[in-house]
Amino acid sequence: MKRTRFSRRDLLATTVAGAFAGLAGGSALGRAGLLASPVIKAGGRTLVLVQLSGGNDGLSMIVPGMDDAYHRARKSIAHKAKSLLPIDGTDLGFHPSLKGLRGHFDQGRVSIVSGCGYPNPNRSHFKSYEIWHTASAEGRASGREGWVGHLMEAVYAEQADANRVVHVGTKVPYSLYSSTHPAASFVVPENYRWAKIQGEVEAMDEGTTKTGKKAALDYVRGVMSDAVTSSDSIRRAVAGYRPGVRYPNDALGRNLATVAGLIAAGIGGRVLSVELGGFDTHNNQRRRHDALMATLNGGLSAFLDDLARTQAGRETIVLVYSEFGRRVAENGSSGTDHGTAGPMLVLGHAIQGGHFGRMPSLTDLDKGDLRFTTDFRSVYGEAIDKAFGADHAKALGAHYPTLNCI
Amino acid sequence: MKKHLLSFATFALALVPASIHGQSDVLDRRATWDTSAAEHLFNRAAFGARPGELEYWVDKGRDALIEDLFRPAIEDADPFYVRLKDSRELRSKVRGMSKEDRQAFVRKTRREDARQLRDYLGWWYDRLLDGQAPITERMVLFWHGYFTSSYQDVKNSHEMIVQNQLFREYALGDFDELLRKVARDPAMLEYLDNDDNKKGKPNENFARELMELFTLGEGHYTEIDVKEAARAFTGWTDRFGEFTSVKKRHDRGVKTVLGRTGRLDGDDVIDVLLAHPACARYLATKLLTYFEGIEPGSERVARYAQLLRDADWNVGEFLRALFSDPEFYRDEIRGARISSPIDYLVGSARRLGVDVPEGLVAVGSSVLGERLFFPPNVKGWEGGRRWVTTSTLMLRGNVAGLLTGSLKIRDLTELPAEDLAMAEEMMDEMMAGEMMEEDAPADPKGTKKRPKRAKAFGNEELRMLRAIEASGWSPRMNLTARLRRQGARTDAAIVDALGDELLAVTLEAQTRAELLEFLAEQRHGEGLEDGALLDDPFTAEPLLRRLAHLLLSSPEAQLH
Repeated sequence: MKRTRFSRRDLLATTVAGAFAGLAGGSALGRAGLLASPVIKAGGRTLVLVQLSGGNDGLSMIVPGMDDAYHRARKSIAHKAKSLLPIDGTDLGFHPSLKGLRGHFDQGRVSIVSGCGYPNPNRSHFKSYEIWHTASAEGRASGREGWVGHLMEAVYAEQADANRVVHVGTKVPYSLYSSTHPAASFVVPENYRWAKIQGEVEAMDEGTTKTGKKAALDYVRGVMSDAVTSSDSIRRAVAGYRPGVRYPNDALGRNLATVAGLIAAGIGGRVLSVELGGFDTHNNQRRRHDALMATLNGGLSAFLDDLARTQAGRETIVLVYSEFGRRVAENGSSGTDHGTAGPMLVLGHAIQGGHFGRMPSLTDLDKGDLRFTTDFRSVYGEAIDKAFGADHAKALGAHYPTLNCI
Repeated sequence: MKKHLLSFATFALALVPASIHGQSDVLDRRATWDTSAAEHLFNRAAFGARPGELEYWVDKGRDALIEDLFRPAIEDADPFYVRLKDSRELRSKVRGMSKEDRQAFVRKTRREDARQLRDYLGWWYDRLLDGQAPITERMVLFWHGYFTSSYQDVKNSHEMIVQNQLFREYALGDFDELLRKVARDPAMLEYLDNDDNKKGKPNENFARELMELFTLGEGHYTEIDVKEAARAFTGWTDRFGEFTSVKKRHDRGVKTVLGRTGRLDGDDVIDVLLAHPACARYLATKLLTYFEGIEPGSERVARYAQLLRDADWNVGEFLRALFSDPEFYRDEIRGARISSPIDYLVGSARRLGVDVPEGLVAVGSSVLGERLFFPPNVKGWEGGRRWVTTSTLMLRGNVAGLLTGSLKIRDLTELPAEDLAMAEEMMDEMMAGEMMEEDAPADPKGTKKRPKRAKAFGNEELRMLRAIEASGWSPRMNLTARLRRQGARTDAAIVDALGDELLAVTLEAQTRAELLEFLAEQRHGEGLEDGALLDDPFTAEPLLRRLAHLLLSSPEAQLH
């Protein structure tokens, strides 16, 4: 009953066989392009993306509590100025629940970039999501896939690797969507496997090549091949990991602990992603958003502490962002509607730290919305430059001025 | 009521000229009615064919099958009785209760409400599985993803059920009427916050999605149109589960939406949207993309948009025309659509011919990303390639193992022994100092703690799975007898016959070779010669079930 043939990972262990494996199966694009040279050099730091989905109300996270206009616009949901955690050198304060992050900020491990957005903002939930996730003004209409996919193409050309982009969570964000470098994803690492038939599926994967006749079938084959490869390395990495700190026992905490394990094990993940949903607060915002901030604070603070223990962890760059901000004025349901600009956070042990960009005015508005002061792609761009030691224009399609916040 | 002047035969005729382009052999293949074409129609219009059905319908002919797929449900046979209705009764009950009693009462009510939703979901899955009204069920699923509402936000099973019944009633009906009903549907009013849309404090959520996702699509309206339309819908809300328009909340001022000015209300805005040329194109594109699995070209969109208009928005007429269109049977789209989790699970169960508990399909589709009544967002399920991730491919294989009876639930939920061994090995490496550095700050409380892990399945899902196992369910099927009837004896004949029955697409040579190798190995393990496997059903059946499990885990099994 036991299979005696070599599995894919055995083949990959030797260089000659590695090239052979490229012919037999390959990743979604195919590993046939082993000789193609990458456009930009692969540098060394890991990028972690923390996406706040649904449109985070930035004004309730990094709060302009000293500004009367803020209190006037938000009669039922404003935070009292004295409850905020002041940010030195600004009129802003952290949300009262972001105590841990404030502590890290004081240690220079948090960069706040205020007023991130893009020109001609689109208030469609989906269009704005696409714009942030493709890093293109046209969104998917431009034919662009997720920006991380384009980054991988720019760095690694056709040399796909199943472990390089990993999402921990149920739904893979569009930023990681790529037909050439699709992300591996899972919820429970221990169960990231084919029960009982793993060996047979591995063999099935080895035996197949892409016909090119059916694009859909070839795509499924490529993802299956990635699944076979990443299943083993991810389960190994997580099984052996003991976090150095206590993480909150919620989904974000667990997923960040897993991400820390993947970084520590060095499985070759370059962009790791998690998501915290529930930010689309059209009504009863205060209670919901407060709970989300507490969750975010707990997960991210523990994660930063945990990252301190390894070199790879200390070099890691964490981007925290949302696909859009919300209106300045609250709506009739003690909530806020889709708006435009908002803050982005960059976290890490080897970043600049501090407040960057310029907080938009709460009175000089564009149809009730904040005017953005920093293009969000400046922050993506700098993260790409610093993490991959390369020029971000090749990945984002244009050059954006950076803030030197990382 | 409108009259549908054009009959389905007229549509079919109207479509013929467009398909006379191209080479004659291509045309022949499109026009050929065989098992492949019948299977394609079954897969797309319904949820796959049961063993034996294809041969029957190849004989009867395409038009007869189309007629049959359009058969309505026998409503009286199996209605769903709603137990919990609205909050009016509850409100009077909690009045005068102590705080503790009230909290307990609310908790109990929530539990009962969730149970009612689960029961309805079971009823719905039952209909999907037994296929008594195939196209109706297909369209109920389509509308659920088109006019989405989620129980997560609505939090009221009665309203979700009422909405689902609306989709049943209008599954093949007139889109314009459905749209007006949806705009008044309590679950929708809550899901898109129109119940909060008041004069002076408009909530734009519904107005925006009405234009972007229900009628025109992005790019055909401005931000001002959204704001103005939102004003027109002010006051539309629900009270105790019934639609009502509250006069004093309604903004009676003059608005301009897409060029029409007046004291517009919601129905006026819907009139404007339905009259817009983009509307029929939008719906036609959505329907064609869903049923064909690829985005249609602009000519095809234009033709089918016109068809919708000529049919006064009747979706049934649209689908009859589509299923009679030779282009619908072109090679490019056959077997090229990535199955949704429900297509995969219901389709596999039907092709296996196995009687599956609804709970198993409910849990399966939920963990695979298509949890009914919980769409991911107002855009519904994106589908296509987005169904396929490394982890959903594994989970599909694992749930297929439950369907074929070759896996037990504990195989999926418990940590396998090899992972425990792996953990030991990794711990040793760590102790040797390879991973952690000495200068790292130590946390005495946490360092040795195993991180708490999420379970593969949620508590609710686990409970359902265990209940299925506790009930003693196992798939009632006899693959051995089926293959013997077909005269399949040798390994090659067995793999081909099973592949033919369980998959919607032909096995690629290399997958087939691997399955043959697997079967040969397994057979050798039992000490049997090629051709002798089916002689002993007790040996053959578990082995064939493992083969079926592996087949359903193959790349080919993800398409239809």
